[in-house]
Amino acid sequence: MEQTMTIKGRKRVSREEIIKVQEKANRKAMTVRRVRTGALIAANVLVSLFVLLPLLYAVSVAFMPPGELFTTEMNLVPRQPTWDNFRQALVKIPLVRFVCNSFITAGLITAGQIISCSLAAFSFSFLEFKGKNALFMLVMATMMIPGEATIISNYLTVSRWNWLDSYQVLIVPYLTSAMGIFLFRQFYKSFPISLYESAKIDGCGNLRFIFRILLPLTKSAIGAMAVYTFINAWNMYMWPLLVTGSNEMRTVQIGISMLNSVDAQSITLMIAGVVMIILPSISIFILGQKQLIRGMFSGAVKG
Amino acid sequence: MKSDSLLKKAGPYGYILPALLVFAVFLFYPFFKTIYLSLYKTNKMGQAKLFVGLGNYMELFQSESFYNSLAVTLLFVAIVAAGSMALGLLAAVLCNKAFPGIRIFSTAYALPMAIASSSAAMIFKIMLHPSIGIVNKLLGLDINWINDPKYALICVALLTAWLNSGINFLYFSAGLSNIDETIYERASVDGANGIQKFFRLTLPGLSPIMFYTIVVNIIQAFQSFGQVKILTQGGPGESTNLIVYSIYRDAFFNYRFGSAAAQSVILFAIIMVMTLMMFKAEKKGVSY
Amino acid sequence: MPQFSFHGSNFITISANKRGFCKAVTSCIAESFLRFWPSIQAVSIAAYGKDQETLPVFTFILREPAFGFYLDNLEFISRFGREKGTEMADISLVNVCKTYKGGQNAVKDFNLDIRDRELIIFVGPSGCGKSTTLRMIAGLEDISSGELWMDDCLMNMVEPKNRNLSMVFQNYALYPHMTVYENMAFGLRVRRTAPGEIDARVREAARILEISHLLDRRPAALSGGQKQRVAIGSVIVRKPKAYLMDKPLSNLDAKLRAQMRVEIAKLHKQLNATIIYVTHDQVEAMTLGTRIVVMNQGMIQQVAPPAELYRNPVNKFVAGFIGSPTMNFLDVDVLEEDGTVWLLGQGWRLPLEGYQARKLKEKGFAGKRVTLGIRPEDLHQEECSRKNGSDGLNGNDSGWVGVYISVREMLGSEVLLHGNTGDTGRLSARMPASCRVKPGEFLRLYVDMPQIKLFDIQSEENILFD
Repeated sequence: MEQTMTIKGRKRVSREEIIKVQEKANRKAMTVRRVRTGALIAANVLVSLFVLLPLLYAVSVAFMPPGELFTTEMNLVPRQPTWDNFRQALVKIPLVRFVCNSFITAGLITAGQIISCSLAAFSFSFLEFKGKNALFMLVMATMMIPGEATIISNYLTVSRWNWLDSYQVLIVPYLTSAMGIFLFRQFYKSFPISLYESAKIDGCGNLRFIFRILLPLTKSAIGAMAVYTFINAWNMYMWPLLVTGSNEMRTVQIGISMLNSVDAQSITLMIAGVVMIILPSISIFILGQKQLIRGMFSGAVKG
Repeated sequence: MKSDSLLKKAGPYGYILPALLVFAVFLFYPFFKTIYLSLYKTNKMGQAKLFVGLGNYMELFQSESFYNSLAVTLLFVAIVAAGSMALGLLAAVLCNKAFPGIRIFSTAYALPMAIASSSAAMIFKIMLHPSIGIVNKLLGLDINWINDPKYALICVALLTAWLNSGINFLYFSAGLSNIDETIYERASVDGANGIQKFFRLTLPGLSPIMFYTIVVNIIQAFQSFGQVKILTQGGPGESTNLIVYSIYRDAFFNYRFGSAAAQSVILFAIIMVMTLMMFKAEKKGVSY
Repeated sequence: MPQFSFHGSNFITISANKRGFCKAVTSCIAESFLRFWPSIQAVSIAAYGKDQETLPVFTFILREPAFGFYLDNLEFISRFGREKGTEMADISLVNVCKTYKGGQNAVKDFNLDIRDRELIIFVGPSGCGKSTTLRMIAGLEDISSGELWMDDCLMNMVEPKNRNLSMVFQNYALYPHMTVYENMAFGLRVRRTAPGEIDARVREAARILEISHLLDRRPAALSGGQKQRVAIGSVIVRKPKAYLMDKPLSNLDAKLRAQMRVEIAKLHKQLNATIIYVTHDQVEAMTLGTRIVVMNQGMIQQVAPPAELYRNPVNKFVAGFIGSPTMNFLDVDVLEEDGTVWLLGQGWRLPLEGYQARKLKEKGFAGKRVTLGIRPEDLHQEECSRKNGSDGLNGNDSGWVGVYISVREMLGSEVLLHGNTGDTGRLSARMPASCRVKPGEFLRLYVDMPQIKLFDIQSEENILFD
């Protein structure tokens, strides 16, 4: 390897020769370093293209006029990009209504989870009461119960209550989450309890403490939770599929599958619709990414 | 005053109340109800009509379709877990040291976690289209991926692996950053080259997070539904009839709530056992 | 390289490891024979095992003690090898500089010849470049300019793993997922040493450091001191050319630090190896080092053995850095009067010794201001006997400094007095525990004049340096 180049016997080699050899070696090292960085970037470009391929392809197809899609030659980029698919998708199905529905449900679910989880985590972190550990174990145990084990009964329950096809059926079952409670509790563990104690000494009630002191100081937990919950709520599929039927109440994911068909006209429409509904969740993800990562890993996930 | 102290005592419970209420109604109660339902045959409205005890379970254990679902699901979970972890690990290792533009790449690698399974499924449906799909065009093949019983499951599995790679990338990145930098310097002085450092330092250093990631991935893989419903509907010929989908079909197309409930219980038991086995393995395997 | 050793006084042995056995060894043997043949009584050829290799050994048995031959034939011997033992390194740094991308100079013009088997210490305040220099020697940082020579090989471009050095890090850098045994064996494993050899070396090192009972534990289950021993154990199993230690004791509590200092000194003698040691604790430096390199802001201030540094610092920085409590510095005027040279303070004056006065005048400091340096241990109370008894030229009214005591610190075996002199002067003095002076009192502190140092106010150099 070039880096093991050595020079023996300094007494017999002149200064100039040493300097010359050194400069050559320095230049070599520089190029090696540049090549290494270049290779790393190239590898990253390749892998990220591979990862983003479905999305890039979807965007490209969404802009393609239907005729262009059905060729046997490679058509990665539309030759005559058009907004037509998007327009048609908006017309063919009440996409705007679906988007509104999804926004409302996802927003309310997010708000609900933040409130209920932060309150519960507050109680577990700052207060002492009988059965605290047992209750906490119980909450954590719910993370073990998979959706399938409860979905049938839940459906039967809400249909008995005549809740089907409404906003509440989409929102209420998801107003809390064990993962949220866990996340907030992790954050509160590193919250200086002396702040709570001095607030109590000053006569501050619990609720006021929560809303005036605790929540403002744990903004990053709320931010992380908001991003995570909103995206998950936006992406929900199975439950809305079961409990909503009418066009007015359908959410975005279910509604878009109404465009699901195989003839040429509709494929580009469908992809355009998909691109439109992916946009909000991706945007929120990109914007809230730093918050999300910091929030999820501040507790140093160590398994 | 007595009411005051009672209020004080009840206080802490009050904060947990909203969360517990939701859990109770929509998690604990349905869980037991499902077990209860699994012991009955029901009518179309889902009311328990005929007590059959373990009859539903017996039927399932004698049904070929159920074993097929089990096998398919296990194979699916294996492919998903392996694929998503490999991709996530690769991305995390590539994005470990800072270089110009690293932000863009790390956003890209994490992106799949923001995408719904149903949306992704629709995109993949077009990608895997036999004549116009990009997959066939890039690979130069002419396979009807989704309709071929040999390949359908792999397609659904790879789709799910792609979806999960985002969160795995985040987990592995966090795990990598938890590794102390100076041990690499020490290894340099001790005489290790790059490959030795990766296998002897990086991978063992990731083992705690790997365990956690495997558990999360497996539990998630068991719950995959959207992709199956949109891509294959359980076919072709039951080759992608994952347990979750089979539950859905039994309950909402065949109205056999009892049998569906039994399947749910079995699925839950399987996940429980696997998680417990993995926790046991962690005690032995994961070093720290 | 063949090895040429004197055993007892009439045996000369020539041996080599497998790689060195070739033309060099044969010519060494031949030439030895030619030189010593008059006194050669017998020749023996043997083989012995070392490091799982079998080496041939030639022994010449001489009629007379060989030491005389050693002295007469130094040049011959230096061409072929050293006196005894493993190959240790002569390390030289020539004009080494380190510049970072922003343009900051971390190390400027570092020139040093590190001798074989010495424990050389780089010491200085934070940010002075000592760790950077150590890392450049290890290969973890690039050398911006200058040369690093090891054994007459230019090492600038050689990768750390090929330099055959070993390093102890400040945070120990133990591999957290490996047991202590595996931690110590790692360096040997990656070099594909035979397992039997690895086991022997690890157990031997563990025995020396008294950690044999910890071999199966993980680093998380070790205390700070134990981790430190494991880190040291990991470097000694490799038998490198030189040991590098980067502030190894800085994460230990004071008591443990004092213990480990002694251990490291013992280890140095046991290993008989070159150790390059970095610390910011001047006590460690003074007690451990055979030679100390004092650095400040990237530049070497002085390289000398501890006693020399204490007695004869080259500038104000070194004088103030070495010695605890720190030296007192006062700005004084130089006045020549009636043949004596005086240092004038506020309300007191000190007569200089003859040679001090002479040097001062030679360098043209008469009538100027200089900085006076006095160590706290060189200030004495009137009641306590003056150390050297030198009264200066005039007898009784010899040098004292008038101090208002403000703080008295009781240290157990001695007392530290802090006080002010004049408007701005601050002084500390070390007194025996019997001293009864209290804060608020005015005290005359008598100065041990031969021990004072004088510094140029601008350049801060020691005027009396020799």
